[in-house]
Amino acid sequence: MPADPQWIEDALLRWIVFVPLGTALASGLLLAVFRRTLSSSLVVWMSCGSVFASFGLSSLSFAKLVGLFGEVPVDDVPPRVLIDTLYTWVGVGVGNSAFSADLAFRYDALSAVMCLVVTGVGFLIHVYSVGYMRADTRDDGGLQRFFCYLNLFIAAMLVLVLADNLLLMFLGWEGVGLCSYLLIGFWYGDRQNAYAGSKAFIVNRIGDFGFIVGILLLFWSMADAGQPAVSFRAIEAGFGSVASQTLALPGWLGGGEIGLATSIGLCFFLGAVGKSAQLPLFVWLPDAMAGPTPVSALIHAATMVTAGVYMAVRLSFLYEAAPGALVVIAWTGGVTAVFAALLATAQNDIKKVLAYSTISQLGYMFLAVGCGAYAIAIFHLVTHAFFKALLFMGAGAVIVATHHEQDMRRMGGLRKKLKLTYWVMVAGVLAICGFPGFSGFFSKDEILTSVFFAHELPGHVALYWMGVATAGLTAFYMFRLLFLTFHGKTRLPRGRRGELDDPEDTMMWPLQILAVLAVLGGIIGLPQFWGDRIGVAESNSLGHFLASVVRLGEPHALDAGVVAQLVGGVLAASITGFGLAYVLYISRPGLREKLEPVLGVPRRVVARRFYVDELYDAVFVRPLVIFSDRVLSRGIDAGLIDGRLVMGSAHAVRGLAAHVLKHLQSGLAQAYLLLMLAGTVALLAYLVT
Amino acid sequence: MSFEMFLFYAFAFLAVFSAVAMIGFVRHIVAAAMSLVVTMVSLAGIYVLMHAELIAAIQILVYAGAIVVLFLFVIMLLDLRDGGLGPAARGQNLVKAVGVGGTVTIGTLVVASVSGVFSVNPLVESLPEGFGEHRALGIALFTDYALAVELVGLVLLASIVGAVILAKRKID
Amino acid sequence: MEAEAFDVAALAPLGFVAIGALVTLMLEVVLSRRAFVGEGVDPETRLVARARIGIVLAFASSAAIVLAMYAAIYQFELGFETAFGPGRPMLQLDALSTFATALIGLGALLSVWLSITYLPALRINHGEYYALLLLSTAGMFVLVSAVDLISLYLGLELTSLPIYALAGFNRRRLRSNEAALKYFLMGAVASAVLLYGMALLYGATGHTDFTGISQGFAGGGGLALSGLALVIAGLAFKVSVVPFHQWTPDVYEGAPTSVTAFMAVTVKTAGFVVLMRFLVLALPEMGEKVSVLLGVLAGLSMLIGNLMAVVQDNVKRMLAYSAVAHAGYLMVGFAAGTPEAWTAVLFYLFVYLFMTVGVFCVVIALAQGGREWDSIEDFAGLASQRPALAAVMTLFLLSLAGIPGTAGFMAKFYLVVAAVDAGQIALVLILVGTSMVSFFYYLRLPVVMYMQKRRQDPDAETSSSEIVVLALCAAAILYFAFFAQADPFGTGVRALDVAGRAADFLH
Repeated sequence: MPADPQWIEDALLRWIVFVPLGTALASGLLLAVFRRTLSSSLVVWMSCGSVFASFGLSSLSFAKLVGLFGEVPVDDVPPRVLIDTLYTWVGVGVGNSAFSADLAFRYDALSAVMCLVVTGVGFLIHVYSVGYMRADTRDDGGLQRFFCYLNLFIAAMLVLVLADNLLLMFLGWEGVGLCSYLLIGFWYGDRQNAYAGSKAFIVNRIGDFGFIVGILLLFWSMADAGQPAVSFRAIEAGFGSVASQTLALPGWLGGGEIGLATSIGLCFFLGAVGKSAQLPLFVWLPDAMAGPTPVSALIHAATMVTAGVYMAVRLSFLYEAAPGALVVIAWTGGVTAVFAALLATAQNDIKKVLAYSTISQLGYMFLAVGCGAYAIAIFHLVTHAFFKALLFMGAGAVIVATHHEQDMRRMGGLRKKLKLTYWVMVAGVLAICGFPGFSGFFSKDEILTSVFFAHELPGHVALYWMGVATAGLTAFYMFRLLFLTFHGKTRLPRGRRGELDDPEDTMMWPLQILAVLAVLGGIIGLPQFWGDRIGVAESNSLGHFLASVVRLGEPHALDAGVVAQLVGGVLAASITGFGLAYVLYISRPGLREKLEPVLGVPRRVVARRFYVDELYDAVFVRPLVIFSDRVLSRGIDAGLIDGRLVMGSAHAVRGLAAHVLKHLQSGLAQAYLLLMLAGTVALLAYLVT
Repeated sequence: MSFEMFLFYAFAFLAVFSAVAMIGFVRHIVAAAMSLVVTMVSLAGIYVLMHAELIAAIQILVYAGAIVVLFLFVIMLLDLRDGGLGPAARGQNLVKAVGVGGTVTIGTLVVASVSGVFSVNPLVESLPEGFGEHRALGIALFTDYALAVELVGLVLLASIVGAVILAKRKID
Repeated sequence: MEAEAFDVAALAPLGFVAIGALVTLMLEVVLSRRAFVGEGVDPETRLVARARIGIVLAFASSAAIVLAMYAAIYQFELGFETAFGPGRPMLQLDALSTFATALIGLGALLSVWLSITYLPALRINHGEYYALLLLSTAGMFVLVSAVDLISLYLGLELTSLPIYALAGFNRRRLRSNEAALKYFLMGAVASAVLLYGMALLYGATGHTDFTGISQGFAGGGGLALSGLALVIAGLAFKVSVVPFHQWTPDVYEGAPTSVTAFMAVTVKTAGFVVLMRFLVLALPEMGEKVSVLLGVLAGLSMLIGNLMAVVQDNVKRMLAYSAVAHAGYLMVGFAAGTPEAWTAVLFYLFVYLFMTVGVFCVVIALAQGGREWDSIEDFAGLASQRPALAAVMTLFLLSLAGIPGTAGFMAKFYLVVAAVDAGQIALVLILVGTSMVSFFYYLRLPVVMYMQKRRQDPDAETSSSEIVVLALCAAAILYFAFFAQADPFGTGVRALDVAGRAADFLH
């Protein structure tokens, strides 16, 4: 690798991962094995400090990487990458199919952006958690365990974004899933949480199946072509030779052929659908809100759920060769965006509104990926991390202040009590709704522009209008949230009205920093059109930075007229949404009751999430259990086990020998033997004939 | 078909039939033990046809003699009324025995006919000198198969220890 | 007739455990006699005395096993290669057999350590326990180096007979008695099937040694093929491959947990190794047909094992079905049948040992008050009471499920890569898919351990021998997740290379 001057060895990278990982392991070991509970201040300093150190190291590497950019012209194509190879992890196969994978971290522009978001926002959320969890841990050691999981999560997420090959990425991919499972169920003793945690993990299995099959398919086809590889660089180099191959579809899928690149792309996308909670695998994310709010902010808004987007962008070279997969991605993203936004309008739990909003925004990102606007997807990912983390943590502040009230119907009028929280929430709401100049405005606008110009995408006009509709719905549900929570008269139970105040400072200052980022964050990806207007010669620095990793695409021919049309459309939709929310929740609340008979049924359907959960239960879960339980265990595996035997054991008093003999006579052993014999005969028949 | 062939098939049929009878037809458990004796003796007959006289003798001594006698002792000690096989069990057992025996027999026949065994003469025509005598057997056991004999010793030890443990009356 | 020179050193591992078995058998008699010389000793004193004797016996057995392992490892490093048996080779001592011997020895050693406190906790009289365990181990040593149908059969019987007795060792428990009897009956039938197959093979080829069979087999022929089918069926029973698996859940559940752990790892290793050697040596060019057959067995085992495990409420039963599933994964390697696949299979067996012993060790560590704590509810709230135990249990289960970051993932990874290379795409898809299903049941335990209220008796403690086993297994699982092919401490040993050398017996 050092042969390539563009690949610079940098042994610092590993410490970005190892510092939080080491902290997590140390405190976990102390707690579990030695039963040593550390003082809470030590725990806090250790975990926040390690994430901050990780952030510092990421920034250092970032500076180094940017320095490399200075040495060569920006538009020079070969990527500039820092790489840290620890050792050869696996190396198997012989001859043509031999390959090896290093345990190596790679720090290119894309990893850099992700890494900074994960450690930066992660650090703020860590600090926030200190205040949030202090009030909330039940037993001693609970805080330590919480931060142990949280650090472990950060480490796994960093492995995911820094991985140099698919295998290591998969390690991180599963690691974040596992940590989120642990963190959702953090408040144990609560069956609901346990259930939500398991659900998240198990729904993700379906996605992971796609991910693994994708890896295998990719590996298999490249090994077939004599270039087996799992590292991103080698795949990118060798993929061209297999990209045009096709796979024959089996008969039960209707036969025919499908492009290899498309099928691999779709497999990986299935993984992304699971992790990023897109249709149809979104069901776990709203339930995951059962976890502590900082966890929701960190995992289910800012970082883990965006892993799917990151992966799609990381494999953009693959998707470039798979237009069919891109169409699926774009449509999945677009439909999910509208669908989840619609669901968000009917939620009463403040965190669930934000959960559906996250799903909807992730849909936007996939829409961008589907249009081939990878850099813009990452741009929205970054701004979304800012404002959604802000919104979640603001909601957390409200929840703490009201002593764990999450139902917005029992809030209201908090504006005067929680002044600071109110203003940061306003900043977040405006950012997500795309108020001109705020971060969300630029990123969302960029996405819709790319959709508008994506002529090669079937139905791009419909997708564009879906995006606009989503913007309107977003404005509606976000302002609904704001109005229900902060405006109007308070509907809090009497007992809780007294000493309402903004939570402590450790929770508030991360909020303020994020508020600033949410407002100003758009600068990093400021579109050139707006840059020209305000006199910045070279704007969209994020885009240019990422150009070393992904194809940027031709700049769109924008003139003031088109821009006015595009911006106007979104703004009109947003203002409509805002107006509707204002009318229904501020000026004429009585109207809601009048509308109830008209909207009753659709409202109920939306509130029950279109019965998707029930559908899954009926289609997947129940048949599996019934099949295993009734058919396999009762039928094939001689169900006598449960019936006769367990019942029989109850009468165990009557002499062992007689008893055992009786059971043998009951046919159990003979049934087993008969099956065995049948198996032998089948084997014989097969081999001999 | 030579007379020896006839004998071979006669013994074979008897062996299989009495084995099936043992589990299925008989009404009394002592009768079941006796059918077992018939099976064992028939097998000994087949061995004789194959010029393995020593094995045949051992077969009768050990199986038909010692083992079945042991069974009979145990049956007597248990003092079972009703032949030990309940009236309900009998019908059930018949079905099972015919089922299992039938499956095995048909399976074997199918395999045998497909593989062309029937065209092979089961009886050996020419044999090395001294085949089947105690001398040849003894030499084989203590030279080529010495290790196997040692292993059999361990197997027997294991089975004795195991049997003693499981049969021990006192649990402590 | 002139006897050839016996290369006794070659039989060292076998000799050590066999002599160890005899010594422990005698030692128990002598020690018990001294301890209980006077009548009227009260039960408590007897119990304590028995526990003490148990420690001595466990120590003696450990010594025998360690010596055997040492000899095996030494032979492995020397590149020992010799056929044993004056006149005709019965045992082949080579890299495969010494590797497997060491592996089985490790499994036996860990099982012995598991038993030290477990047997007194369940008030099981250890008596001849350790002797039987060593005898069975000796049988497996024979099995893994068998190159003749006769030694194969004797090895199998020597392996199985003590286990039948061991399974019924908890005589107070009906289930244990039942397990023993059921296992014995079915094992006897399986043995009969195996013998029948051997007889047919001998009849068809005129040979009992593997290489002779392979020469005689050349023409194929229905008789030889039927023999082959019956031999495969008989061995498939031992490694609990569907449809010969029905005994597994009953026996796993009924047998004392230390015995379950022992047979789960060692019998499986021995069975797969002998099957491997038999297939490779007796059928050098394994036909498409055999490969398909093994593939079908693999697919069925993965599907039925994983699906059945979903609905189990008893941890040991669940692990039994999971063992069936893992047998299916291993059979995928058999269906592939390439040298890489054999390497992957051996590595998988190696990793499987640690995961399985670890999991059963946790079950054992929970046993208290004279009964097993092996239903899923018994694990409730373990994390708050015994956090380390819950943590390692989670690790073992995740490794069984094959999540990256555990050795279980690497094992599956190598298997999958080998199978993909061999073009077994359908089997790989089943493997990956059913692994996903397996998360369903493996995760049930962490859920109840971490997220439900405590049920355990607070006084329970993990004994030091159990801690050693747990720590060793956990460390191995983490270590081999990252260093299966690397050598961070400069020992010159890379696990996969070792497995590769063992699988190299073809040449």
